[in-house]
Amino acid sequence: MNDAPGTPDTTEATQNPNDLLAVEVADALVDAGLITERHKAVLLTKLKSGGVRQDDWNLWVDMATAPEAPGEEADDE
Amino acid sequence: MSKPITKTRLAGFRGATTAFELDLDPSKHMIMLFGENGSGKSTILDAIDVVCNDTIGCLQGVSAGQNVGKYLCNLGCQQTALQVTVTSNSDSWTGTMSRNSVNVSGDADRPIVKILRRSQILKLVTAQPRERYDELSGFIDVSSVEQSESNLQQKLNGTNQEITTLTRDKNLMASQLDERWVAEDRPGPGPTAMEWAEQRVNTGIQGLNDKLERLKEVVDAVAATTAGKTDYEDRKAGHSNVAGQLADVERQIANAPSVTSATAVQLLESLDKAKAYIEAEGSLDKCPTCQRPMERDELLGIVNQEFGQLSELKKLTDDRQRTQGRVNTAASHLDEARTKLVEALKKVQEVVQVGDVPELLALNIVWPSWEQATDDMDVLVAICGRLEPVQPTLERQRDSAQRDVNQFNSINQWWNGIKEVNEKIADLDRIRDGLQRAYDIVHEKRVAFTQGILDDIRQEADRLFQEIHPGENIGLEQLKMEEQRRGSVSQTGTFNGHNDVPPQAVFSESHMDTLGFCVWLALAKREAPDATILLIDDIFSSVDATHLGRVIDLLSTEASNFLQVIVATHYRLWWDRCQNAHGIQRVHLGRWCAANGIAAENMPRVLDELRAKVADAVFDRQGVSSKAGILLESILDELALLYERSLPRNKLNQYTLGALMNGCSKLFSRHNLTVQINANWNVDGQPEDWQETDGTAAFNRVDALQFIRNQVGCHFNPPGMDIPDDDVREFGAATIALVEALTCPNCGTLATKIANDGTHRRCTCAKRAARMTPVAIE
Repeated sequence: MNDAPGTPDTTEATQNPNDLLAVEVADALVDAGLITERHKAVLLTKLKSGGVRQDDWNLWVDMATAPEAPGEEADDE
Repeated sequence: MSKPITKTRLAGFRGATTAFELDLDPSKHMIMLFGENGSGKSTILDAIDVVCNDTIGCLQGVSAGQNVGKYLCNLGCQQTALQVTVTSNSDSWTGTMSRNSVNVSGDADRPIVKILRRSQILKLVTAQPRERYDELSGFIDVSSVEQSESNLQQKLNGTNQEITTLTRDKNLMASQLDERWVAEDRPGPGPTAMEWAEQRVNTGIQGLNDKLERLKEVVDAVAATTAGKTDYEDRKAGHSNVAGQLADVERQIANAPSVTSATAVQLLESLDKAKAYIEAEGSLDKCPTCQRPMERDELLGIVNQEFGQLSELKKLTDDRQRTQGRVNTAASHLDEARTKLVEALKKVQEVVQVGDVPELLALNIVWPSWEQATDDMDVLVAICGRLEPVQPTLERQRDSAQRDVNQFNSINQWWNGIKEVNEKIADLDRIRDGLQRAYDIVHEKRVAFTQGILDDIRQEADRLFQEIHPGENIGLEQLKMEEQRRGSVSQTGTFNGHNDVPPQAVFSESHMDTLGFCVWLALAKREAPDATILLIDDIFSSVDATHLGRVIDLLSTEASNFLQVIVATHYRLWWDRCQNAHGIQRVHLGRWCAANGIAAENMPRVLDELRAKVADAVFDRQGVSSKAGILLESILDELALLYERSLPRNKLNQYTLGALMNGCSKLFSRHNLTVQINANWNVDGQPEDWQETDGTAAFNRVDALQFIRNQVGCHFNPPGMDIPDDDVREFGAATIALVEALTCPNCGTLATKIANDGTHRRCTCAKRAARMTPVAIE
């Protein structure tokens, strides 16, 4: 309760539980090396909105876990 | 930016049969709407709910036919007359009705309002797990992540299936390869078929292909001579046959009449034309050629006879011509067959000369000179006859070479197939492991996340519940997502030592009501409470006085978490207990009637009323005495109850001021009741500065004058009349001093709540500006 009128508003756009969980999940998957940092943003967007499709999971996990080809530079994007 | 509601105006809405306006004080953390049943409390809350939440208020879920929303309109009133306005400082939102529903206009974001009615309590605590989930879903709905998790699981299953299929394919190929290897008697270089196959594949197919191609060339060459010989013999026989036929025709022509065939043909043509001419003429009397007199029919008979004799000869000459043509064709074919046979034999000679076909070399063929080879076809036919028996042997060698090539191709296909599948499986194994780990993470995170929220809600709800039911051995033990049933939340409670009972099965109705209230409050606290306005619509009808007192304390404490709390109640106990509270705007609703609609009046704090009366130039002796008495009775009654003071027993538990003063006097004289006020309570960021009030002196001051309450405030009698105004004013001032010495300067209530460390009692407002000792009296 704000005791007096004119008290600064503290309302912020609160994240819904899905969004909060999405951030936790994305962080954990990146930490576990199952999603590359490069794909984290799109993963997060899809977790928050439309859901990640089967092909997305396959592609991202494949790319994150693929053995580095000899002489290939690490992806620094 | 959410601000408290400052005004609501109702016209034509529910019980507001006449326009009704209520100003809400935004400086008060709680607005209490007090009135008897049917006074219009719910109508006011409904109006706010309808405007702020686009609902149909308490009509939600009511079975009253279609378009139940039309009942929001005052009965007998035109829908266009309905107008509900909610104002928050400079913003306002107005709901108007058309076609049985209310449409709200207003530019600014509407206030966040959550309303609790008894029907919602039932959904929270007594409903099925799925309905409970619906009520909680706003806090635990992670459906998008859940869908992603489901897709991940499907991909994982699909990958497992793919690996299974590939493994089956690989095993089939390995089994076929193994079978071939065993058939070859398990040759080296290693102990497995794969090593053998690898060696075979590495050897390459070129040698096998070369051998096969060579044998195909040899077999084709030899087979061509066999075919050529047969063809030549057939052509030769054919030619001989048609030559005989020609000779027969020649003989027949020689025996025919001595007319040359050419002359006969010309004559036949002339006769044919003459016959046509005569047949076309209707009548004739002479021959058109020799002019000899002759009838038409006679002339036609002569022509027909001559025509028949010459036709036979014509047929023979045609036969001879056709047969001659066939003889010529047969001769041409015979020549071709000779040439072909020569070419086939030349090819065999080339093949033999390479010297790699022992079967042909062994025949020691003497090849003729090819320039005149056709002159003596018998020699060529004889050579063909010698080649013919060798052909099957060569064909077997060719077929064997073909099998070697096929086998190589199979081994190559299996070995490479197995290798490729192994690589694919290894790749898929890696991805599958990744997907499995990802699934485990997503699943565990989701379950832990939603369960964490439920645990938090449960913990807070139970904490609140324990405030209402301390030491009753009853509580909310668990809220849990049901893994087997999507979108379901189960609950278990504690009851008398049992920790896994469904509350709805063992709790009393009032326990369920307070539990539902606590769960709802815990939920409301999770979502931007300082921007949220709570509406509580008279939900504690089943709660007894003791528990209601705790609910009041709890709500007084919790209200500070929210932007504004508007409570509707018909409980006078609640109303009275709040009569001295600072932070509460008390609105008293009078009796409703159709003619006047809702009637409401803001009630000031009794203490403020007393202050005003004491300071009033036109002194109201009786009013001051009466108000002071009421104020004293209410605060001493609460003290006596809190410290369990002895009072004269009476049937109705109604105590006079005198009895209460006597009962409480020892609190000050013997038990050293002490109240401390934090001098810095109203200054943010300053350290606490606890200063003791002189409650004992204030109590003694009142004690000396308390008789005034009766003699001036309640009765008409001579002793009362003798009491000077100054004494009455002093009684009022002493009462004010005592109340100020005992209550919190912020919330205006006694410090009743025992502090966590058990050393003192504190008030329940957010400032917690007052504390009182002792906690209890032995």
